[in-house]
Amino acid sequence: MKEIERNCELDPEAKPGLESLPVDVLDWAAALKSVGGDRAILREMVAIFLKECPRWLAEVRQAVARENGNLLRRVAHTIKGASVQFGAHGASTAALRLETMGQDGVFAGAQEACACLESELQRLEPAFAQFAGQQSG
Amino acid sequence: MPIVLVVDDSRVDRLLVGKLLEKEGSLDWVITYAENGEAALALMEDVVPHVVVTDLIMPGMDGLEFVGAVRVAYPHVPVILITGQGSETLAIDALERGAASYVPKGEMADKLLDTVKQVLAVARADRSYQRLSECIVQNRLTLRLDNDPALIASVVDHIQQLLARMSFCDATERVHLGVALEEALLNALCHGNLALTAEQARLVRSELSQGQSSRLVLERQVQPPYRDRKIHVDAVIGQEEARFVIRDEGAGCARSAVPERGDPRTLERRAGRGLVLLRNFMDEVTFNDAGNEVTLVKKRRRAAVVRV
Repeated sequence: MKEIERNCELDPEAKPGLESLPVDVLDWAAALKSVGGDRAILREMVAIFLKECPRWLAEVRQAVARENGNLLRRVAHTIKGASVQFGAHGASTAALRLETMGQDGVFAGAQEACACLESELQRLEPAFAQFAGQQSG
Repeated sequence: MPIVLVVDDSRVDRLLVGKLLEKEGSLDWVITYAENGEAALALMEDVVPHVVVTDLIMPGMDGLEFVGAVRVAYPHVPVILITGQGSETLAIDALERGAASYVPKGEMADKLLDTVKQVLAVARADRSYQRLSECIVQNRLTLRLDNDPALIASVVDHIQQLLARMSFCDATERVHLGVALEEALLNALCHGNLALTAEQARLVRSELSQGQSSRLVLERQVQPPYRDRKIHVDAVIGQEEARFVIRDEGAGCARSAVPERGDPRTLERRAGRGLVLLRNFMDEVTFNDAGNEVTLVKKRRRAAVVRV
Protein backbone atom coordinates (compact mmCIF):
# COMPACT_ATOMS: atom_id res chain seq x y z
CA MET A 1 0.00 0.00 0.00
CA LYS A 2 2.88 2.27 0.82
CA GLU A 3 4.30 1.62 -2.60
CA ILE A 4 1.02 2.48 -4.20
CA GLU A 5 0.76 5.69 -2.26
CA ARG A 6 4.29 6.56 -3.21
CA ASN A 7 3.47 5.95 -6.84
CA CYS A 8 0.36 8.06 -6.61
CA GLU A 9 2.22 11.05 -5.24
CA LEU A 10 2.92 13.88 -7.63
CA ASP A 11 6.59 14.27 -8.27
CA PRO A 12 7.34 17.65 -9.87
CA GLU A 13 10.60 16.34 -11.23
CA ALA A 14 9.03 13.30 -12.78
CA LYS A 15 6.29 12.64 -15.29
CA PRO A 16 2.86 14.05 -14.40
CA GLY A 17 0.98 12.01 -11.77
CA LEU A 18 -2.25 10.13 -12.18
CA GLU A 19 -4.14 12.87 -10.37
CA SER A 20 -4.07 14.99 -13.49
CA LEU A 21 -5.87 12.32 -15.50
CA PRO A 22 -9.64 12.16 -15.98
CA VAL A 23 -11.27 10.34 -13.07
CA ASP A 24 -14.93 10.32 -13.97
CA VAL A 25 -14.83 7.10 -15.99
CA LEU A 26 -12.24 5.13 -14.08
CA ASP A 27 -10.46 4.94 -10.77
CA TRP A 28 -6.73 5.36 -11.23
CA ALA A 29 -5.93 4.50 -7.65
CA ALA A 30 -7.80 1.21 -8.02
CA ALA A 31 -6.07 0.59 -11.34
CA LEU A 32 -2.66 1.15 -9.79
CA LYS A 33 -3.57 -1.04 -6.84
CA SER A 34 -4.62 -3.86 -9.14
CA VAL A 35 -1.11 -3.95 -10.62
CA GLY A 36 0.64 -3.77 -7.27
CA GLY A 37 1.58 -0.12 -7.78
CA ASP A 38 3.61 -0.80 -10.89
CA ARG A 39 3.03 1.86 -13.55
CA ALA A 40 4.90 -0.09 -16.21
CA ILE A 41 2.44 -2.97 -15.89
CA LEU A 42 -0.46 -0.54 -15.96
CA ARG A 43 0.88 1.01 -19.14
CA GLU A 44 1.10 -2.38 -20.83
CA MET A 45 -2.37 -3.30 -19.68
CA VAL A 46 -3.77 -0.07 -21.05
CA ALA A 47 -2.10 -0.71 -24.39
CA ILE A 48 -3.53 -4.21 -24.60
CA PHE A 49 -6.95 -3.01 -23.47
CA LEU A 50 -7.05 -0.40 -26.23
CA LYS A 51 -5.90 -2.97 -28.76
CA GLU A 52 -8.44 -5.58 -27.68
CA CYS A 53 -11.44 -3.25 -27.45
CA PRO A 54 -12.40 -3.29 -31.15
CA ARG A 55 -12.32 -7.09 -31.26
CA TRP A 56 -14.30 -7.41 -28.03
CA LEU A 57 -16.97 -5.04 -29.29
CA ALA A 58 -17.18 -6.82 -32.62
CA GLU A 59 -17.70 -10.12 -30.81
CA VAL A 60 -20.33 -8.64 -28.51
CA ARG A 61 -22.22 -7.23 -31.51
CA GLN A 62 -21.97 -10.56 -33.29
CA ALA A 63 -23.17 -12.46 -30.21
CA VAL A 64 -26.14 -10.12 -29.79
CA ALA A 65 -27.02 -10.25 -33.49
CA ARG A 66 -26.91 -14.05 -33.52
CA GLU A 67 -28.34 -14.39 -30.04
CA ASN A 68 -25.36 -16.51 -29.11
CA GLY A 69 -25.58 -16.64 -25.33
CA ASN A 70 -22.34 -18.53 -24.73
CA LEU A 71 -20.27 -16.12 -26.80
CA LEU A 72 -21.97 -13.10 -25.23
CA ARG A 73 -21.39 -14.39 -21.73
CA ARG A 74 -17.75 -15.15 -22.36
CA VAL A 75 -16.78 -11.93 -24.15
CA ALA A 76 -18.76 -9.75 -21.74
CA HIS A 77 -17.09 -11.59 -18.84
CA THR A 78 -13.67 -10.80 -20.33
CA ILE A 79 -14.54 -7.12 -20.79
CA LYS A 80 -15.97 -6.95 -17.29
CA GLY A 81 -12.84 -8.54 -15.81
CA ALA A 82 -10.52 -6.15 -17.64
CA SER A 83 -12.65 -3.10 -16.81
CA VAL A 84 -12.74 -4.01 -13.11
CA GLN A 85 -8.95 -3.94 -13.03
CA PHE A 86 -9.06 -0.26 -14.04
CA GLY A 87 -11.90 0.63 -11.70
CA ALA A 88 -13.97 1.41 -14.77
CA HIS A 89 -17.29 0.86 -13.06
CA GLY A 90 -19.48 2.12 -15.89
CA ALA A 91 -17.91 -0.27 -18.37
CA SER A 92 -17.85 -3.20 -15.97
CA THR A 93 -21.51 -2.68 -15.02
CA ALA A 94 -22.52 -2.53 -18.68
CA ALA A 95 -20.49 -5.68 -19.37
CA LEU A 96 -22.03 -7.48 -16.41
CA ARG A 97 -25.49 -6.71 -17.77
CA LEU A 98 -24.58 -8.33 -21.08
CA GLU A 99 -22.85 -11.25 -19.37
CA THR A 100 -26.03 -11.96 -17.41
CA MET A 101 -28.13 -11.74 -20.60
CA GLY A 102 -25.79 -14.21 -22.27
CA GLN A 103 -25.88 -16.55 -19.30
CA ASP A 104 -29.68 -16.47 -19.12
CA GLY A 105 -30.12 -16.52 -22.91
CA VAL A 106 -32.36 -13.48 -22.63
CA PHE A 107 -31.74 -10.99 -25.42
CA ALA A 108 -34.51 -8.46 -24.81
CA GLY A 109 -32.77 -5.10 -24.48
CA ALA A 110 -29.43 -6.56 -25.59
CA GLN A 111 -29.00 -4.03 -28.40
CA GLU A 112 -29.36 -1.16 -25.94
CA ALA A 113 -27.01 -2.83 -23.46
CA CYS A 114 -24.50 -3.30 -26.25
CA ALA A 115 -24.74 0.37 -27.18
CA CYS A 116 -24.29 1.31 -23.53
CA LEU A 117 -21.14 -0.80 -23.25
CA GLU A 118 -19.80 0.68 -26.46
CA SER A 119 -20.38 4.17 -25.11
CA GLU A 120 -18.68 3.35 -21.80
CA LEU A 121 -15.66 1.90 -23.57
CA GLN A 122 -15.45 4.94 -25.83
CA ARG A 123 -15.39 7.15 -22.74
CA LEU A 124 -12.34 5.27 -21.48
CA GLU A 125 -10.30 5.85 -24.59
CA PRO A 126 -9.34 9.52 -24.03
CA ALA A 127 -8.33 8.80 -20.44
CA PHE A 128 -6.24 5.85 -21.50
CA ALA A 129 -4.70 7.79 -24.38
CA GLN A 130 -3.79 10.65 -22.04
CA PHE A 131 -2.22 8.21 -19.56
CA ALA A 132 -0.26 6.49 -22.32
CA GLY A 133 0.93 9.87 -23.57
CA GLN A 134 2.03 10.95 -20.10
CA GLN A 135 3.93 7.76 -19.44
CA SER A 136 5.78 7.86 -22.73
CA GLY A 137 6.41 11.61 -22.68
CA MET B 1 13.18 -23.03 -11.51
CA PRO B 2 9.39 -23.22 -11.19
CA ILE B 3 7.39 -23.32 -14.40
CA VAL B 4 4.04 -21.55 -14.17
CA LEU B 5 1.43 -22.00 -16.86
CA VAL B 6 -1.06 -19.13 -17.06
CA VAL B 7 -4.30 -20.00 -18.85
CA ASP B 8 -6.64 -17.16 -19.71
CA ASP B 9 -8.41 -16.07 -22.88
CA SER B 10 -8.04 -12.40 -21.89
CA ARG B 11 -4.73 -10.88 -22.93
CA VAL B 12 -5.17 -8.21 -20.28
CA ASP B 13 -5.47 -10.81 -17.50
CA ARG B 14 -2.69 -13.01 -18.91
CA LEU B 15 -0.40 -10.00 -18.87
CA LEU B 16 -1.41 -9.02 -15.36
CA VAL B 17 -0.90 -12.51 -13.92
CA GLY B 18 2.44 -12.91 -15.67
CA LYS B 19 3.71 -9.50 -14.63
CA LEU B 20 2.64 -9.89 -11.02
CA LEU B 21 4.58 -13.16 -10.85
CA GLU B 22 7.58 -11.70 -12.65
CA LYS B 23 7.81 -9.00 -9.98
CA GLU B 24 9.07 -11.71 -7.61
CA GLY B 25 12.50 -11.90 -9.19
CA SER B 26 14.01 -14.15 -6.52
CA LEU B 27 12.06 -17.17 -7.67
CA ASP B 28 13.31 -17.10 -11.23
CA TRP B 29 10.02 -18.27 -12.68
CA VAL B 30 9.51 -19.53 -16.16
CA ILE B 31 6.07 -18.29 -17.10
CA THR B 32 4.26 -19.79 -20.05
CA TYR B 33 0.88 -18.83 -21.42
CA ALA B 34 -2.10 -20.47 -23.08
CA GLU B 35 -5.34 -18.82 -24.10
CA ASN B 36 -7.64 -21.75 -23.39
CA GLY B 37 -7.81 -25.21 -21.88
CA GLU B 38 -7.08 -27.12 -25.08
CA ALA B 39 -3.98 -25.04 -25.82
CA ALA B 40 -2.83 -25.49 -22.22
CA LEU B 41 -3.15 -29.28 -22.37
CA ALA B 42 -1.27 -29.31 -25.66
CA LEU B 43 1.54 -27.29 -24.04
CA MET B 44 1.59 -29.62 -21.05
CA GLU B 45 2.28 -32.57 -23.33
CA ASP B 46 5.67 -30.99 -24.04
CA VAL B 47 6.47 -29.33 -20.74
CA VAL B 48 4.70 -30.16 -17.51
CA PRO B 49 4.50 -27.03 -15.35
CA HIS B 50 4.90 -26.99 -11.58
CA VAL B 51 1.68 -25.04 -11.17
CA VAL B 52 -1.19 -23.84 -13.36
CA VAL B 53 -3.03 -20.55 -12.87
CA THR B 54 -6.27 -20.52 -14.82
CA ASP B 55 -9.34 -18.46 -15.52
CA LEU B 56 -12.63 -20.33 -15.35
CA ILE B 57 -14.70 -18.82 -18.13
CA MET B 58 -12.96 -19.47 -21.43
CA PRO B 59 -13.95 -20.43 -24.95
CA GLY B 60 -14.01 -24.12 -25.82
CA MET B 61 -13.06 -26.24 -22.84
CA ASP B 62 -14.05 -24.17 -19.83
CA GLY B 63 -12.06 -23.93 -16.62
CA LEU B 64 -14.07 -26.65 -14.94
CA GLU B 65 -13.37 -29.20 -17.67
CA PHE B 66 -9.76 -28.08 -17.77
CA VAL B 67 -9.30 -28.64 -14.02
CA GLY B 68 -10.81 -32.11 -14.39
CA ALA B 69 -8.52 -32.94 -17.31
CA VAL B 70 -5.41 -31.78 -15.43
CA ARG B 71 -6.47 -33.73 -12.36
CA VAL B 72 -6.67 -36.92 -14.41
CA ALA B 73 -3.60 -36.49 -16.62
CA TYR B 74 -1.31 -34.59 -14.22
CA PRO B 75 -2.48 -35.33 -10.68
CA HIS B 76 0.65 -33.80 -9.15
CA VAL B 77 0.24 -30.43 -10.87
CA PRO B 78 -1.76 -28.04 -8.68
CA VAL B 79 -4.24 -25.70 -10.32
CA ILE B 80 -5.03 -22.24 -8.95
CA LEU B 81 -8.24 -20.59 -10.11
CA ILE B 82 -8.69 -16.93 -10.88
CA THR B 83 -12.26 -16.21 -9.90
CA GLY B 84 -14.34 -13.27 -10.97
CA GLN B 85 -17.79 -12.06 -10.16
CA GLY B 86 -20.16 -14.53 -11.78
CA SER B 87 -17.87 -17.54 -11.63
CA GLU B 88 -18.30 -18.39 -7.95
CA THR B 89 -20.42 -21.50 -8.55
CA LEU B 90 -18.00 -22.75 -11.18
CA ALA B 91 -15.16 -22.15 -8.75
CA ILE B 92 -16.79 -24.26 -6.04
CA ASP B 93 -17.27 -27.07 -8.58
CA ALA B 94 -13.67 -26.71 -9.71
CA LEU B 95 -12.37 -26.86 -6.13
CA GLU B 96 -14.41 -30.02 -5.66
CA ARG B 97 -12.85 -31.41 -8.82
CA GLY B 98 -9.41 -30.89 -7.40
CA ALA B 99 -8.29 -27.28 -7.88
CA ALA B 100 -5.74 -26.42 -5.20
CA SER B 101 -6.72 -22.84 -4.41
CA TYR B 102 -8.22 -19.67 -5.86
CA VAL B 103 -7.57 -15.97 -6.04
CA PRO B 104 -10.35 -13.43 -6.65
CA LYS B 105 -9.61 -11.39 -9.75
CA GLY B 106 -9.83 -8.13 -7.83
CA GLU B 107 -7.23 -9.25 -5.28
CA MET B 108 -4.56 -10.62 -7.56
CA ALA B 109 -2.02 -7.93 -6.72
CA ASP B 110 -2.31 -8.76 -3.02
CA LYS B 111 -2.78 -12.50 -3.06
CA LEU B 112 -1.63 -14.13 -6.29
CA LEU B 113 2.07 -14.31 -5.50
CA ASP B 114 1.62 -15.64 -1.98
CA THR B 115 -0.94 -18.18 -3.14
CA VAL B 116 1.28 -19.49 -5.94
CA LYS B 117 4.27 -19.71 -3.59
CA GLN B 118 2.22 -21.48 -0.94
CA VAL B 119 0.78 -24.00 -3.40
CA LEU B 120 4.19 -24.61 -4.94
CA ALA B 121 5.69 -25.26 -1.50
CA VAL B 122 2.95 -27.73 -0.60
CA ALA B 123 3.23 -29.46 -3.97
CA ARG B 124 7.01 -29.67 -3.61
CA ALA B 125 6.63 -31.26 -0.19
CA ASP B 126 4.04 -33.64 -1.60
CA ARG B 127 6.34 -34.64 -4.45
CA SER B 128 9.19 -35.23 -2.00
CA TYR B 129 6.91 -37.31 0.17
CA GLN B 130 5.71 -39.23 -2.87
CA ARG B 131 9.31 -40.01 -3.82
CA LEU B 132 10.06 -41.08 -0.29
CA SER B 133 6.93 -43.24 -0.22
CA GLU B 134 8.07 -44.99 -3.37
CA CYS B 135 11.24 -45.99 -1.53
CA ILE B 136 9.30 -47.85 1.15
CA VAL B 137 10.03 -51.56 0.79
CA GLN B 138 7.50 -52.72 3.30
CA ASN B 139 4.82 -51.15 5.42
CA ARG B 140 3.55 -53.06 8.43
CA LEU B 141 0.56 -52.15 10.50
CA THR B 142 -0.55 -54.06 13.60
CA LEU B 143 -3.79 -53.07 15.25
CA ARG B 144 -5.95 -54.24 18.14
CA LEU B 145 -9.41 -52.80 17.72
CA ASP B 146 -12.36 -52.40 20.04
CA ASN B 147 -15.73 -53.46 18.71
CA ASP B 148 -16.53 -50.07 17.28
CA PRO B 149 -17.84 -49.95 13.69
CA ALA B 150 -16.47 -46.39 13.30
CA LEU B 151 -12.95 -47.75 13.73
CA ILE B 152 -13.44 -50.13 10.82
CA ALA B 153 -14.01 -47.28 8.39
CA SER B 154 -10.90 -45.53 9.73
CA VAL B 155 -8.77 -48.65 9.36
CA VAL B 156 -9.92 -49.18 5.78
CA ASP B 157 -9.26 -45.55 4.93
CA HIS B 158 -5.80 -45.65 6.49
CA ILE B 159 -4.81 -48.81 4.64
CA GLN B 160 -6.07 -47.36 1.37
CA GLN B 161 -3.87 -44.33 1.94
CA LEU B 162 -0.86 -46.54 2.60
CA LEU B 163 -1.58 -48.41 -0.64
CA ALA B 164 -1.88 -45.14 -2.54
CA ARG B 165 1.36 -43.73 -1.17
CA MET B 166 3.22 -46.85 -2.12
CA SER B 167 1.57 -46.80 -5.58
CA PHE B 168 0.68 -50.41 -4.86
CA CYS B 169 -2.28 -50.49 -7.21
CA ASP B 170 -4.57 -48.25 -9.20
CA ALA B 171 -7.62 -46.47 -7.82
CA THR B 172 -10.07 -49.21 -8.83
CA GLU B 173 -8.07 -51.96 -7.17
CA ARG B 174 -7.74 -49.78 -4.12
CA VAL B 175 -11.50 -49.54 -3.88
CA HIS B 176 -11.76 -53.31 -4.28
CA LEU B 177 -9.23 -53.83 -1.53
CA GLY B 178 -11.12 -51.42 0.69
CA VAL B 179 -14.40 -53.23 0.14
CA ALA B 180 -12.77 -56.61 0.85
CA LEU B 181 -11.14 -55.36 4.05
CA GLU B 182 -14.35 -53.81 5.26
CA GLU B 183 -16.20 -57.07 4.63
CA ALA B 184 -13.61 -59.05 6.57
CA LEU B 185 -13.57 -56.56 9.46
CA LEU B 186 -17.36 -56.38 9.69
CA ASN B 187 -17.46 -60.16 9.67
CA ALA B 188 -14.98 -60.26 12.55
CA LEU B 189 -17.06 -57.72 14.44
CA CYS B 190 -20.58 -59.03 13.81
CA HIS B 191 -20.18 -62.79 13.47
CA GLY B 192 -16.98 -63.14 15.49
CA ASN B 193 -16.74 -60.89 18.52
CA LEU B 194 -20.39 -59.91 18.91
CA ALA B 195 -21.69 -63.39 17.94
CA LEU B 196 -24.65 -62.00 16.02
CA THR B 197 -26.84 -64.33 14.00
CA ALA B 198 -26.92 -63.89 10.23
CA GLU B 199 -30.24 -62.03 10.50
CA GLN B 200 -28.96 -59.75 13.28
CA ALA B 201 -25.79 -59.06 11.33
CA ARG B 202 -27.83 -58.05 8.26
CA LEU B 203 -29.84 -55.65 10.40
CA VAL B 204 -26.71 -54.16 11.95
CA ARG B 205 -25.05 -53.69 8.58
CA SER B 206 -28.14 -52.06 7.17
CA GLU B 207 -28.21 -49.63 10.10
CA LEU B 208 -24.51 -48.86 9.78
CA SER B 209 -24.74 -48.32 6.03
CA GLN B 210 -27.39 -45.66 6.67
CA GLY B 211 -25.10 -43.92 9.12
CA GLN B 212 -27.18 -44.96 12.10
CA SER B 213 -25.88 -46.43 15.31
CA SER B 214 -26.95 -49.97 16.01
CA ARG B 215 -28.76 -50.86 19.23
CA LEU B 216 -27.51 -54.44 19.06
CA VAL B 217 -23.91 -53.34 18.73
CA LEU B 218 -24.23 -50.77 21.52
CA GLU B 219 -25.72 -53.40 23.83
CA ARG B 220 -23.04 -55.98 23.22
CA GLN B 221 -20.22 -53.46 23.39
CA VAL B 222 -20.83 -53.31 27.17
CA GLN B 223 -21.89 -56.92 27.80
CA PRO B 224 -19.47 -59.65 28.81
CA PRO B 225 -18.02 -61.65 27.16
CA TYR B 226 -18.38 -59.57 23.98
CA ARG B 227 -17.07 -56.31 25.42
CA ASP B 228 -13.61 -57.72 26.15
CA ARG B 229 -13.04 -59.14 22.69
CA LYS B 230 -10.76 -57.39 20.22
CA ILE B 231 -10.25 -57.51 16.49
CA HIS B 232 -6.62 -58.08 15.54
CA VAL B 233 -5.32 -56.75 12.24
CA ASP B 234 -1.89 -57.45 10.87
CA ALA B 235 -1.27 -55.76 7.52
CA VAL B 236 1.97 -56.11 5.59
CA ILE B 237 2.20 -54.16 2.34
CA GLY B 238 5.31 -55.10 0.45
CA GLN B 239 6.62 -54.68 -3.04
CA GLU B 240 5.16 -57.93 -4.32
CA GLU B 241 2.01 -58.37 -2.29
CA ALA B 242 -0.22 -56.96 0.40
CA ARG B 243 -1.17 -59.45 3.10
CA PHE B 244 -3.86 -58.86 5.68
CA VAL B 245 -4.57 -61.15 8.60
CA ILE B 246 -7.79 -60.36 10.48
CA ARG B 247 -8.63 -62.32 13.60
CA ASP B 248 -11.48 -62.02 16.05
CA GLU B 249 -11.81 -63.46 19.54
CA GLY B 250 -15.17 -65.06 18.97
CA ALA B 251 -16.01 -68.73 19.34
CA GLY B 252 -15.18 -69.41 15.72
CA CYS B 253 -17.43 -71.21 13.30
CA ALA B 254 -17.48 -73.83 10.63
CA ARG B 255 -15.98 -72.03 7.70
CA SER B 256 -17.84 -71.79 4.45
CA ALA B 257 -16.36 -73.14 1.29
CA VAL B 258 -14.55 -70.31 -0.45
CA PRO B 259 -16.34 -69.73 -3.76
CA GLU B 260 -14.52 -69.77 -7.07
CA ARG B 261 -13.21 -66.43 -8.20
CA GLY B 262 -15.18 -64.88 -11.05
CA ASP B 263 -18.06 -67.34 -10.84
CA PRO B 264 -21.16 -65.25 -11.68
CA ARG B 265 -23.46 -67.79 -10.06
CA THR B 266 -22.08 -66.86 -6.67
CA LEU B 267 -23.42 -63.33 -7.06
CA GLU B 268 -26.98 -64.64 -7.10
CA ARG B 269 -26.66 -66.21 -3.68
CA ARG B 270 -27.73 -63.88 -0.92
CA ALA B 271 -25.82 -65.64 1.82
CA GLY B 272 -22.06 -65.38 1.72
CA ARG B 273 -21.97 -62.14 -0.26
CA GLY B 274 -19.04 -60.92 1.82
CA LEU B 275 -17.13 -64.06 0.98
CA VAL B 276 -17.89 -63.61 -2.71
CA LEU B 277 -16.52 -60.08 -2.59
CA LEU B 278 -13.41 -61.19 -0.74
CA ARG B 279 -12.77 -63.94 -3.24
CA ASN B 280 -13.26 -61.73 -6.27
CA PHE B 281 -11.30 -58.76 -5.03
CA MET B 282 -8.37 -60.60 -3.47
CA ASP B 283 -5.95 -63.10 -4.96
CA GLU B 284 -5.94 -65.42 -1.96
CA VAL B 285 -8.52 -65.93 0.78
CA THR B 286 -7.86 -68.52 3.49
CA PHE B 287 -9.38 -69.21 6.89
CA ASN B 288 -7.79 -70.88 9.86
CA ASP B 289 -9.28 -74.12 11.16
CA ALA B 290 -11.07 -72.40 14.02
CA GLY B 291 -12.82 -70.08 11.59
CA ASN B 292 -11.91 -66.91 13.48
CA GLU B 293 -9.05 -65.72 11.30
CA VAL B 294 -8.94 -64.84 7.63
CA THR B 295 -5.86 -64.14 5.56
CA LEU B 296 -6.29 -61.98 2.48
CA VAL B 297 -3.55 -61.56 -0.10
CA LYS B 298 -3.42 -59.15 -3.00
CA LYS B 299 -0.58 -59.55 -5.47
CA ARG B 300 0.93 -56.48 -6.99
CA ARG B 301 0.33 -56.20 -10.69
CA ARG B 302 3.22 -54.17 -12.04
CA ALA B 303 1.48 -53.20 -15.25
CA ALA B 304 -1.39 -51.76 -13.26
CA VAL B 305 0.73 -49.56 -11.04
CA VAL B 306 -0.10 -45.93 -11.55
CA ARG B 307 0.68 -42.78 -9.66
CA VAL B 308 -2.51 -41.42 -8.24
